[in-house]
Amino acid sequence: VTSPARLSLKDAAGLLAKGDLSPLELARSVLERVDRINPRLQAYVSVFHDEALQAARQATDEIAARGPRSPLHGIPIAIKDIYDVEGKPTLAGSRVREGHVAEADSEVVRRLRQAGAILVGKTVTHEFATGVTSPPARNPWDLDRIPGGSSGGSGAALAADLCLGATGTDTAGSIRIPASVNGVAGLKPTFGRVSKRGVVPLAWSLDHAGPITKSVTDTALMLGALAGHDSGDASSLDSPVPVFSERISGSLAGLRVGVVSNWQRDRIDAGVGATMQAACRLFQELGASVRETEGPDLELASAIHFNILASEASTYHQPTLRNIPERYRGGTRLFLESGELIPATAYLNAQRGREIVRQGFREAFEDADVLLAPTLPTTAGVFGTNKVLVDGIEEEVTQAYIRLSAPANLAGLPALSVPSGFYGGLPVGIQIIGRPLDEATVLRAGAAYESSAHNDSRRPDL
Amino acid sequence: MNHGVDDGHADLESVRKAFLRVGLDLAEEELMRLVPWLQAAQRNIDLIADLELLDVEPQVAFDARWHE
Repeated sequence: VTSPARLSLKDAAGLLAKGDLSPLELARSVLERVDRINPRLQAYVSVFHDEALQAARQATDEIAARGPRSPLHGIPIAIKDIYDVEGKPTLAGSRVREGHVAEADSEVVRRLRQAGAILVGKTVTHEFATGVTSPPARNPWDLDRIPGGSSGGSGAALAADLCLGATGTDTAGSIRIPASVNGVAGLKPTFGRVSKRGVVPLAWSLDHAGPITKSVTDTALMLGALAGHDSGDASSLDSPVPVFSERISGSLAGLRVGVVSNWQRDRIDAGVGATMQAACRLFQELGASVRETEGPDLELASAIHFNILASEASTYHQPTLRNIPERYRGGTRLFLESGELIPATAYLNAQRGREIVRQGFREAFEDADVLLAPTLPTTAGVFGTNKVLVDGIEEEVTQAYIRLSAPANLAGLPALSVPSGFYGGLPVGIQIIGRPLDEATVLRAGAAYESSAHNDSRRPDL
Repeated sequence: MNHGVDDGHADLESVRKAFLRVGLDLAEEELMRLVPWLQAAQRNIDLIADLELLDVEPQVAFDARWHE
């Protein structure tokens, strides 16, 4: 008998709606796994054990009386510890935030509660979302490896079946990177599609909030609950929100897939390259037309991205960097200090330079409905080091990991990481990028690929 | 050379003064750790400075909350 915790969000929602599973049974199953596995995995920084059971009892009564009010009703969801949850600390992975208690729910958490989700706890983030290793969390596929980041705890918790959905944030790839290295799905929606109110900022003009889930279908279900205008968030978009879960099925016949060839000429592992070739063949078998295209220049995008990221992050942290600098971890502090000396002219030129990146994407989309690229140039790196091997050459892990993901942040485009198999015993992901506000096409392509990819069904051995 | 740092060179006293001007009094050890970061930042600044951006304005978003 499958443990309820190991179900997908969609399958669990189906059983809950039919009365074949209760939210209380589901929550107990998840919490039992958390109690057993989290001491080794360290995906959660805190677990809301009693509150989760209380909410699950209430959801059990509500569904028994009136049926589920949404596909998330009674579903255990994990919250990255960078989102405010009323009455709980938002530590953002940092001693700088010691003593903080959130006065109100972030908008995303408010929407999750409204949908009837059960909050399991807060997941580990890399300090202030500034990196990709997320200590002390580990990768469930190999506990000696990193879970990626900055939403590393969320990715690890999903792969280990310690929740059925999770929130992440993505400023340079922090949803897609942990999705890729943990073998789960993660979507960075269009900039402004999901509210960031109540989320600790990293870089205002690059930050995105979004879901990480076990499958693309689950991503569509969770995005449906999270997306929508929030008048309390200056960057929130007031645009119609489709019912994503109704838009993800159907043939890919006629879909134009542009394979970003210049990004693959950059250094990537041979195993990642082989995954991409297999993905291209599969999209063709599914009826899509697949052709090569050129994306924005990676070196230029990286330079523009760093100037904006470091300038905005250093601005946000300016007071605490002066008052309590000793509370930052070494790498975070160096990053923030380096941003202090970027001239205003360089920051504004970087903001102007974004137009060149946007134009590069616009040209790529002239002949394509979605773009296809690797999410990462390699798999999960070794825990306890800030280096990773890419095609046999050692690189700084953050630079290596964000290289293929950060361009979509500069242009604000929706970008999905989908599991695409394994090599060396570790998961690999491919990235599907769409036009602004066209998450539906991105999810449709991802769901068709996922259901046809014949990825082996192995699960982490925990 | 900006702030005392360029590819292959670092004048720690100039770097220290640059940080003092923005209100950060950093120890020499911290300054030495920062040198590669500042060199990388300078390379990025130089690359962006070469872009042809004459007709490009930085985008400024209108805040819909103004009317509420």
